[in-house]
Amino acid sequence: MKILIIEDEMALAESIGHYLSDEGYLYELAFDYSSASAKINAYDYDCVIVDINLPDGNGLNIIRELKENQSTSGIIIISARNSLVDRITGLDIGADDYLVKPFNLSELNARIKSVIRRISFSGSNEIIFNEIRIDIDSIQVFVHDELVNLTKKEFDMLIFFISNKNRVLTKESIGENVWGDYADSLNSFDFIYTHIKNLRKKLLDKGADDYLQNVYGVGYKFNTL
Amino acid sequence: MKLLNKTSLIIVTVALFIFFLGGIAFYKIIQSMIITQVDRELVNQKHNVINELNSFLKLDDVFLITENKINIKRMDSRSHIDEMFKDTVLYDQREKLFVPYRQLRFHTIIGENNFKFSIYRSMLEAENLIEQIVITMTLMLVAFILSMFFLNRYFFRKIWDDFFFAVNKVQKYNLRDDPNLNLQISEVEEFQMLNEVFETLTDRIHKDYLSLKEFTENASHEIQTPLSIMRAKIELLLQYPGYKEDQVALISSLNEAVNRLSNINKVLILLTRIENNQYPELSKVHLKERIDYHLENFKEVIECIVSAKSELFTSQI
Repeated sequence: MKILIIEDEMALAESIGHYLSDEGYLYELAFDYSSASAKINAYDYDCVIVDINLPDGNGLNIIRELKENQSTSGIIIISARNSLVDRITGLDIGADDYLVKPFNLSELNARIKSVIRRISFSGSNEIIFNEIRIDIDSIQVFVHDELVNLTKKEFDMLIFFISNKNRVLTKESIGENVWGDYADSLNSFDFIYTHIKNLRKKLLDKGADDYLQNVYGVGYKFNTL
Repeated sequence: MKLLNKTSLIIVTVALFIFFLGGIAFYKIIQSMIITQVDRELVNQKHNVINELNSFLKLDDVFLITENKINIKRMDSRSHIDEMFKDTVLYDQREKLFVPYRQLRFHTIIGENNFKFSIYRSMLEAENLIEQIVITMTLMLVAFILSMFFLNRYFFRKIWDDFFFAVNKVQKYNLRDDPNLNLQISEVEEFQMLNEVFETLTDRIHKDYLSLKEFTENASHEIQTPLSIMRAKIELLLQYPGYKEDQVALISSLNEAVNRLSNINKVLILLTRIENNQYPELSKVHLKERIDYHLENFKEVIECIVSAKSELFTSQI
């Protein structure tokens, strides 16, 4: 899987690259519009992460170029701008997702996976991990082919965890992933504890391994090692 | 208390006080003038009477017609009275009332006899005169005070019009709608001064407001990128294996601080956006649907808080 990161802030671009390479992705960096434009014309990427504000151009034009080239890459916009108009424009011209800075790397990772999944499995949209099988379209989870009765939030959480296997996920990033923008108004994410407890119990009851680990004081980890 | 009422009250009080004192003084002056006049008349008459009586004795030509009452009494030749004026009353048989009189008493020797003379001059007309004058004056003063009062009210409104206009404008002043106050030019120098002060003040407020707005906007947007980097680096840092518990605690508190900072920043951006009227559309909202939606969304959160509280409660018992 090859990913192009177009972001003029080098430190941020490198952090994203670092996180993604741990996930087993190959990545390339472009710090400005011209090099990004050269790269997308020369190579094919599975996913392109693009910042709208670039020193020598508008990131939206990169998306337009990609669409002109009939590229099949997934496109995720990362932007400091959070207005509805920007979102709509971005998604309208063909972006698959829109992430507002500052974001969590785990969130970006989950979104990349979701976008790639959508593109590559156009038929059945499933995540299979060991004994766990997740049918994303019908929002159903099976352990050893037995249906697990999860709430929508627990379901979202499980996908987030499986997208970020063996990662320490902070309570905040889990909260923001599941509750979205409204998580801003929450000042404590301790309530996540209850959900994780329920999710873990439901999975264990159906005979799954104990993957969910508490990382003391920080958050949780989906440990497969 | 309104300025108008206050000035009116002061004017009326002072005017009443001055007019009261002035009225008394005026009354006294008129009275003493009349008395002086009457006294002079009485003295004249005294000389007349003495002259006439003397000429009567000599049987020279005599006129002794007087409108004043004259009382003549023969006295002991050795007794003596000082010439004096006196206020007195006599009973008028015809009118059946006491009438005020001014009396001049003196004695003189006519021939060989000593006579005591009392000349009475009626003060009824004089009193009436004074009364008339006082009534007229009082009426005039009352009219004067009343007209002062109402004229003051009338002109007050006219003169202070510019002032109230300016106050009204300042009261309704809204930085966002119109930075200018648009005050009228006042003919009154003081009010014009006030208008200018208001205008420089609002001008400065507007400039401060703009620069503050710009600053918040820029600051909150510029902060976002370093915040993203911090978040990303902390997340990467967390992924390294083999931390001790206290090291994790350090990173965790760092993470919390960064999260809090980015929340503050989000709120700031939201505020500037509202300030910039980026949400100008107003629409009717079905409140119940909205609340139900959010209640559903936060169902787990609420349940968790409630159960945590009840746990706490039972553990306290």
